[in-house]
Amino acid sequence: MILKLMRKEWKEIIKTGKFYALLFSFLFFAISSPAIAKFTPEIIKSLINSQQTQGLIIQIPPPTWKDAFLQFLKNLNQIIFIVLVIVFIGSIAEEKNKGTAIMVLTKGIDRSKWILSKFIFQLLVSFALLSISYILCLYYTFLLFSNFPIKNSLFSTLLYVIYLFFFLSLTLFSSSLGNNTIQSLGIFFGIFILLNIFSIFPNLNSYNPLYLSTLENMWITSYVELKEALKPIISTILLSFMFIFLGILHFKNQEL
Amino acid sequence: MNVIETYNLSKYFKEKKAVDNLNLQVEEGIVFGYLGPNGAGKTTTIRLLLNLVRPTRGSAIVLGEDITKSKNYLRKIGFLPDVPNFYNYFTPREYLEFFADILNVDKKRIDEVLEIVDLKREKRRIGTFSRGMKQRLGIAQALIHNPSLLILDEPTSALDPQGRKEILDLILSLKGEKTIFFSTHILADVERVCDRVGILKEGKLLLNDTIDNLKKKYSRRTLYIEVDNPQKLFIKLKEFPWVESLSLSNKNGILVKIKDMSLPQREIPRIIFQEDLFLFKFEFLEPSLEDIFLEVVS
Amino acid sequence: MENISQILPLIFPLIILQLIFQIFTIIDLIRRPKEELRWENKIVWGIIILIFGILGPIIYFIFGRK
Repeated sequence: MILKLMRKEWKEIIKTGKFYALLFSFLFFAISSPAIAKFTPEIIKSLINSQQTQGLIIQIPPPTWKDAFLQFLKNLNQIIFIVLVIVFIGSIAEEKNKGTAIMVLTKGIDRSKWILSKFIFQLLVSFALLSISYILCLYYTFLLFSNFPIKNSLFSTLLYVIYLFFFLSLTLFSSSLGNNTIQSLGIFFGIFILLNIFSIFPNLNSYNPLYLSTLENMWITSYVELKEALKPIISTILLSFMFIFLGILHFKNQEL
Repeated sequence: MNVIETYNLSKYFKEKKAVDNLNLQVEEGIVFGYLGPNGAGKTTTIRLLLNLVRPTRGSAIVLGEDITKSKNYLRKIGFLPDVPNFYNYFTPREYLEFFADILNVDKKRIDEVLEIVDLKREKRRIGTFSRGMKQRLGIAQALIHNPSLLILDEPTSALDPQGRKEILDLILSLKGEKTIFFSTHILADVERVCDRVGILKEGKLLLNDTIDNLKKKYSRRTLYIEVDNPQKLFIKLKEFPWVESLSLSNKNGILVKIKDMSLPQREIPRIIFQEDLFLFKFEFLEPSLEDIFLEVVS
Repeated sequence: MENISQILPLIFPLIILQLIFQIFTIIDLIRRPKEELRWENKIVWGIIILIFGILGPIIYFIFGRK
């Protein structure tokens, strides 16, 4: 059943074109991140040279693969994050709002299966695109920097996968609570801002899912002790399951 | 056997009692018209029956299952909401393929139902459809899994006369094959297709009867009499306790509303005889469903 | 200036990729009936797709359809 429902989700994002928005973001930033890291210092340099400021001595350290992956992570955590949330957050709320959900649910389709099919689908699509994007970024980084930093970049990206799992769970939760896309986005970013506020407290910080993005960067710049990563990983996964559980529970009892 | 039975089914919202102690029976195989003014609680009743909202009190048995305990009965129901919405990016065929897929229905059934609603050759996306086409597709999706009970919420209310006729013809063609429960506020529709009607007002069921019975019950209460001197008869009739109201109509006619029919049938001829009047016409008037409705609702 | 000419061939794949996305998106825009678009206006969407770089196609595919 879940598989059949997922097939419809797939047709939906193809036919509405939303898939291309995701595909373009993941592909483009996989390549642009190393490129920008490589060329930004050179462009600055050439600008300085062309402006006849020979007298000035400006020290720009040569970029490395680290800059490439830091740039990649920055894009994953900003623009790709926002594209993913905007594309997926309406999936439950808009079906409630437009009344397309009741056509399915009044035929006896289980509400949890319906909502889970969406979540698993979103997870799979994001994961697949992230993998392609990661490999592409890795390859292009190798071309530009002659370095193939598998270990650090892989661990860093895996942390992002956990983070992705978390914010897709939060998307499900927000979409279940909200009655339309705008409301759901409000709930999502409300909780997101709350997590940002919590990250001020240093003793809570290591349990905060947002701390994962700090760790992602640390895996690139230096390395991360497993013990240190374990706390945020476990708490993020627990929080994710809590949001999934609460989202489904709310939807099951919701009057449509 | 009853397909729908409700026991004190109630749904209260904060501001109003949408459905209040509803005791409704719908027999298998009939077309049941669920009639009521706007806001009477028709849609809420349907949402209760379909497990979209939970009853505040009471329960219901639909297709032999307690709706508060099981959801399996939903597989045997086809439902058309008052404003059906579809996945606009699909064509009708793709949309029905989706349901055929999740409900394990044979693909041949898609052609059958598209044929029934005359959308077989439609290749455009649903988003471009007119209201009438969407309504027909709505019926197609309600029929796709060959349900034994059809629940249609105001299937004709937003349509033009042509679209209305198409939908009513469709309902008529399904008559006998399936139990059809449909809500409406359009009396003419009920009169055309229904076997039984239930009249709902402010969440309460005022009556539940066959159309024939209703007409019999309410018809014998208005008499039309034509005599050569209606004024004279008018004055005479005013004195009788079984007369509810009187009015002169036409040149020679009188409309007499009576409280019960046995006495007047014997007494009015006697009065005419005593007053030495010429009797031209003596008739029990058939009321329209509209008259009955207005009388019941007020 | 010589620096810029060194950079260009290396940044080329990026420009090509963006162009491919934009052309793909413009083709989708042209083939789609106007009624399916938000604001029902192809010109506005064409401009958005072309001037915002990579964001143009992304915005179109997220918000472009009704």
